[in-house]
Amino acid sequence: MEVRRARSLAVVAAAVEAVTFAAIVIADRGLAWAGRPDLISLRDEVWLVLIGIVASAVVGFAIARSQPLHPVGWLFLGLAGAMLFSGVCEEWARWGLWARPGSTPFPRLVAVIGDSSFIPWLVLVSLILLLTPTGEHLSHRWRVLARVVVAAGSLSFCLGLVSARVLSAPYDKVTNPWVVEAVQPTADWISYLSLLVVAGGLAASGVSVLVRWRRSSGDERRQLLWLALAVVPLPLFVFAAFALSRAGFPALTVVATGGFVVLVPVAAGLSVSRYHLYDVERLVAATVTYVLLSIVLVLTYGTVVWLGARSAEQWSVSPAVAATVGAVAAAAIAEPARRGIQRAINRRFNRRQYEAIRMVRAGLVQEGAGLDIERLFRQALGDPGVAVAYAGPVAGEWVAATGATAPAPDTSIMVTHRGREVARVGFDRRRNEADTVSAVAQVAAAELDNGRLRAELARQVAEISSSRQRLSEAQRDERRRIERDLHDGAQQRLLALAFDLQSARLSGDAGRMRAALAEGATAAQGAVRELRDLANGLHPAALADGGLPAALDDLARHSPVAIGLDVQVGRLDPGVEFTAWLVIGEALVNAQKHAQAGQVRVAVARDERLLHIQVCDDGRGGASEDGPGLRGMRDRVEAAGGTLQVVSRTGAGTTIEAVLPCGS
Amino acid sequence: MRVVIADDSGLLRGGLARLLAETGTDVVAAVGDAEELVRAVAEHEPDLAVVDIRMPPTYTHEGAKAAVELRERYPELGILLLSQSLESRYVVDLVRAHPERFGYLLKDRVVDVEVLVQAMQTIVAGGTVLDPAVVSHLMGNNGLADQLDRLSSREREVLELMAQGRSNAAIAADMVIDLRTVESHIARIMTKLDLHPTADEHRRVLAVLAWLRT
Repeated sequence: MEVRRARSLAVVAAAVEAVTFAAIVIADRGLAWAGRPDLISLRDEVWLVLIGIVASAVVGFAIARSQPLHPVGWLFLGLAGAMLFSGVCEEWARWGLWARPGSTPFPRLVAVIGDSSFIPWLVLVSLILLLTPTGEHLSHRWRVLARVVVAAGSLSFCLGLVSARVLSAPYDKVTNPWVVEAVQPTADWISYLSLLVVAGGLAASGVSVLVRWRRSSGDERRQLLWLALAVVPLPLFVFAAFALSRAGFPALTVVATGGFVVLVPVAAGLSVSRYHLYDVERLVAATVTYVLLSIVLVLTYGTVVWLGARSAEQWSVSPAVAATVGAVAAAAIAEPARRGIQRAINRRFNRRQYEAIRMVRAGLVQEGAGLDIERLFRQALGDPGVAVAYAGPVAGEWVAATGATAPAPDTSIMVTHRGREVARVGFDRRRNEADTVSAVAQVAAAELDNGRLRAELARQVAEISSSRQRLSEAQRDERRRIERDLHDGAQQRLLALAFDLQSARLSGDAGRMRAALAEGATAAQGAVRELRDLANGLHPAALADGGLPAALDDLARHSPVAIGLDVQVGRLDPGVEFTAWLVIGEALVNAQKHAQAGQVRVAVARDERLLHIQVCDDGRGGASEDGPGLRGMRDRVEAAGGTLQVVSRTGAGTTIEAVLPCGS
Repeated sequence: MRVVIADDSGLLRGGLARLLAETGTDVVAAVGDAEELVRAVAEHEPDLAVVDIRMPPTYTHEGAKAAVELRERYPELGILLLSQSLESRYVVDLVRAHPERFGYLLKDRVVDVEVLVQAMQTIVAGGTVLDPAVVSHLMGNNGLADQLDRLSSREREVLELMAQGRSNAAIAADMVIDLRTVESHIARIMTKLDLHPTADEHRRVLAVLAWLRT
């Protein structure tokens, strides 16, 4: 909740700063329309400060949004706010004092405030340097430094408000309405000394960064590199700013101050938002590529046109033709040139790919057997969403390492090993380019091929165990059905028979007893028939006695649907006969019950090793392979080591083909 | 005796009704499911309800559940549960919860009219009847085998009949021995198994059942 509120606050702060920025620019342009173009302040060297404002606001917003609890984001937003505040003071005073005197209240006072308003900048930059990149002070001592800087900055700012000193140009004629004569000139000196303390603190904060950098290693060291580079010239900037402002070069002062105010947010932003260093490198690489490409294309075009113009003198070629040929030549080389340049640049600049490949290589050597290649890729590519899927047995089917079917990622690359696709690596397009992922994954191609084999094994094991479970469930259902059949059928008939015989006996009536005996005999026959049917359904006697031909003949005789039999086998292994009989029986039940077929053709044939079964019906088709019926059939066939194929197009009947191994 | 029969199979319902009629029992209603059973009992207020344990819609224990509900509403109603297959665990739990005027028999046992009539009389008189199959099932418990070895074969026979809910007199008649012999057998069983002697027959059944279930 708190995090969410902080994020919304960052949005609000950034929006307010954007509006203020726009207002300052409009107010400044307004000075020209008001007839005082000489008063315009946003010109020449001040652009540097504008860049500083934008950089601080953007970096601050980005950090505060992504890491709302990190103080540096908010300090940057504050820095942008402080600089904007100076701008507001500037415009306020210029309008109120000169452009339209009296158009803003208290212009002199605002000019005095504006004159000291750069102090908060320094304090904020100092705090930023002290807290980057962890958000914590390096040690307790550095925390004291932060307090001293804040205290000195506040003191200097407040005393500046009551000081009698001459303001910097163009306000050097403005007198301070709040001046307190009693404390002059002591206040002015204390204010200046405090300011020196702030400047010293700022330089010391830079030292804090360097100390951090020196102590850091690995990723953190890489993070801090940029900031460390930016703060090295910091004391120089501070010294220059003071010296120049004392010597009366306001323009150069702005450049000196603005210089590090621009550098710091960029460098600190890079430091705080970790891995994104790589993105900068990528951006640099892309920029260089396209600049070079443009130069090559322009040169090509220019050369062709120039040659054309020269030859025009000899062969009177029109300039339009030369221009066209030039354009065509430039277009023709554009793509190959881009690829060539990109490759060359990447080799030099694509540190990310280089680092990632190095990491993967190291991981492959180190981890050996228990390697989690997906995790290794995730680390190397800095992308927690990397998903490795392996080529399944059927083309276009991908499985995860667990053997489960892998969902298709948004973006992915294929890894080939010895000419076949072995793995698919899904990644986040915003984090990596396909080329990088491809190059990194290719390093591990052999390992991925092993992974594919392991995944295939895992898939088969999972399939077997789920098929086994389905078989046992089917068996349980079957047993329950038999129990119910017995309970509701023969058992009940026999009980009722017993009751009736008993009551007839009790009645002692001869006629009733005779009738009961006759009925009893019929009932007993019925029960026996019922038991026989049940037993036949479990394992038909015909199958045991005469094999498949006899059992199928029986089946066909009692089927309500016309069945054409073509059975070219003799006796087989009883297990194979039973499986074949079950599959055909189930297929026939499906054909009459679900497909409403009018005719079914059953063909059974064998060769040396295999029994081929085919059941075709002319029903409505469209059978679902995932339905319990067909799945159960498939499980049975596969449990017997066979394969099952079902073709069931809607309206075109269903054909079931089972192949079972039948030994010798 | 006025009896209501509940069984979902019309064939069995009819057969049982005819059989009971032959024994001189007044079958006031024969119904096919639990709801009808409740209505019939409310209407006829019979002495005994003969109820099939399995009934629609789920064919699990609807009949038994309906019987337990009836027992709570009509404490004087005798209940004889019937089933085709042995439901020992469930039924023993029921008997322990409702030992009075309660019985359970397998349907094939009921074909023996004398057993049936005797069971009905025991139940209506306030006793408990448990099918011998349930009792021998409990006696077959492996953990009990050692302890049962302490009993003589005569005593074991008596224990089985006790568990079925027989009175001392019935046991004596069944085993064709003297009533006093039965009493001394029982006293010895009670001592050997650490059971508290009690005159109350259904309490005795409970004690024996509790012992058998351990």
